[in-house]
Amino acid sequence: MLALAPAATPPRRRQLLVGTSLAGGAAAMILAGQLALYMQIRDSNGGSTRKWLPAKTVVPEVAATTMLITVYAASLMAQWAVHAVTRGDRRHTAYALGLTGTFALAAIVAQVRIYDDMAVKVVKAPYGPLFYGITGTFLLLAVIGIGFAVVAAVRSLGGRTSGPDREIVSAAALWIHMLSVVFTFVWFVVYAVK
Amino acid sequence: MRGGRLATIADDIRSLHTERRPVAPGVGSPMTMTTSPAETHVDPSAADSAVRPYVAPSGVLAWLTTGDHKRIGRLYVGIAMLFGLATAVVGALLSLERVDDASRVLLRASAVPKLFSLYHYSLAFLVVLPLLLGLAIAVVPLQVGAQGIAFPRAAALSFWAWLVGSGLLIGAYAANGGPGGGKDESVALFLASFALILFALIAASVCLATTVITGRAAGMSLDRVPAFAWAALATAVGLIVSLPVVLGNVILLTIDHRYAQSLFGGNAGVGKYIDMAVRQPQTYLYVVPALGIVADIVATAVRARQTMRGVLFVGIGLAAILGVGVDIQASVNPQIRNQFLFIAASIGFALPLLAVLGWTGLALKNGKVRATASLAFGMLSLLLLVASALLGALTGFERLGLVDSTYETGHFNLVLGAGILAGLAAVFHWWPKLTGKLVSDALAKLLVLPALGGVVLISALELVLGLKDKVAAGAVKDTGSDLTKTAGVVGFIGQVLLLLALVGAVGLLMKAWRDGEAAGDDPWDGQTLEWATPSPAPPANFAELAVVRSPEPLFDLKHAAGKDA
Repeated sequence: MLALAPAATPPRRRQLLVGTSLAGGAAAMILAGQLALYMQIRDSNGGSTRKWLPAKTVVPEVAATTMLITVYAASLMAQWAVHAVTRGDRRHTAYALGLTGTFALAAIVAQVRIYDDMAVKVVKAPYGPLFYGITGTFLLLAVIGIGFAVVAAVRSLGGRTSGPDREIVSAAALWIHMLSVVFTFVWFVVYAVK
Repeated sequence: MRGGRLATIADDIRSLHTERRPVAPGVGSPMTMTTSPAETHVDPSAADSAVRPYVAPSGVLAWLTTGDHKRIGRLYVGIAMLFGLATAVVGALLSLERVDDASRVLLRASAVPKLFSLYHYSLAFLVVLPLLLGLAIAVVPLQVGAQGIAFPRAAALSFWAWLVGSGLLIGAYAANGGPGGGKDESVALFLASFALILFALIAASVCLATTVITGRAAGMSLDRVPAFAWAALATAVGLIVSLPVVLGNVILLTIDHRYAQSLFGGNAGVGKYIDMAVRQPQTYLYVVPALGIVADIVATAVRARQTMRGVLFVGIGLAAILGVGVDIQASVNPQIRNQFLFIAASIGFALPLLAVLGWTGLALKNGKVRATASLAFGMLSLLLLVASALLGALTGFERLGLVDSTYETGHFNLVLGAGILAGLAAVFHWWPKLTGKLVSDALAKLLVLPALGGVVLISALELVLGLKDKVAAGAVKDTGSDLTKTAGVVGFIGQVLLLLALVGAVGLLMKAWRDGEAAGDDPWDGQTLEWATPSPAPPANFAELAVVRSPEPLFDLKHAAGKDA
């Protein structure tokens, strides 16, 4: 008989967290590539804001910066949820995740407001397709983040806040953090530098 | 009465479940498997809530709904091989067009560039990448001692999304779509289908990388994983950082194509923003798993402990890093080709391959080699990859004018052809583990020469044509050179040879699956964990495993057993 000492129970290696970080990395790379293309095309179209933006287009910087702060707030709430779930505090975990989703939703509302204020037509190339492509991709990732937070909240409300069940809260928070990092670059390139 | 019957069923199910679960540490024999029937799952909770226990589906439904990584991997491999046959037919048609330079009897003039484009995207995204990723999905969880792949539903979703995307991609080309297609709706369909394929391959990569990072058996540190698992991890991470860039471009292209058709040049401009996915250096990344396949096959063939694994792992890792190419977006920004880093990376790709070749040579020299068909396929694949890396280095010298010429086409064929050979090596090597049946090694050896000849003939004249006459890539006709016709004839013969080899391989595998000889658990006298479980491996792969103490855990066990005897 083959006989070596049997294995100890393998350490839990945070599968969901690792998977989320890889998926988050992939999501970030989508936007990184798009922003690179935005800058490249902007550069080849004169490189100055005046030449680049369609005529009579005003970028609402206040709304964009408010959106940035909202995304950061969502990130902060997500970390609060991680802190709460680590202590086994079900009520605060649910509050924190609820606020995370609310702030993420508020960011989406802010983006819609920006669309409304700018009133750029998507056919106004080269700016239109790039602007809507980048911000639309970010919205899609934000919606995924809200879905993730909702699932985590439902599970923690159902009492699954111990052991491996904590991991989904950490994973949802990681996704939201990824969103805030990515949006920092989107904000800088699309709304600050324009 | 009813309550008593339910209690009996529940007890039966609980006892079944207990049989299949890992024994607690310190109890029972290590690295052995229970013999529960394959593909039958019994949910113990079912008895508490319903009269009849859940029984997993069987037959076709089992394949359609499977979350078992072995089945998902086999589905990837099988369909990719079928796409390989179709792609070889397309390649043969394109080669014939070169011969027929006057009358365009075979294909309409407008069809040629579309078939040329289809050939490239198909070979990369419908054949080689899914073939090697599918093999990794099937084999790597077994190699690292995992009970399954991470996120099995996501892995299954990746396969079905890839399959649907591939079907739509072919449909888009058939309906006058693809890059430069003539019909807007079909080009839009191409973009949607390509996005679906990219999403699927990214999802598969995430599952694979997560499995290697989190699912390893106790004691199996990253430096102890088998070479194929390491190569799969390196490739998966490379794909995770590179394919999303292409996906991002596809999203922008779709919006522009749908609403404006001006920013990226409409139908004609689509190719420019995504073709970096089928060009050097990105194509190198797709075949990095081949390095791991060859290393594992060599290690098994020589039946000895391997030294200098660090060199091997650094070589594979470096090859994956240098293979990440779409992020450079050289097609969008051609000036980048003149930059030092780009040139250095083009030339430098040969170094990690030479390191792997050196390691392989050393292993073969120091061991008693058992020559198998998979070893022959694997070694030839590695030699072709080294040749392609050396030839690819020439494209870094702008003065030679090889970029966008048939030289690049020939190089593409050589790299991905090497990937096909590696895929065949892996399929013949691990087929006994996946199906429990032995493939005839003697018959498999007969396929080595046609496959090698096919890949070499397809690539060689394209390379010469590009080097000598600087013929533009995709210029299938009217180049005014006799060499063009010769290239057409030779390329056609090559495609037919490759087609024959693929048909032969599919036939052999199917024959073995249906009425092959039983393989046994360890037909190659292997050293890694996949050979420690029955063939075919049951759904949960392993009942329990010993602590892994070296890169050759099975070798340790056999050695220990030999001492005890």
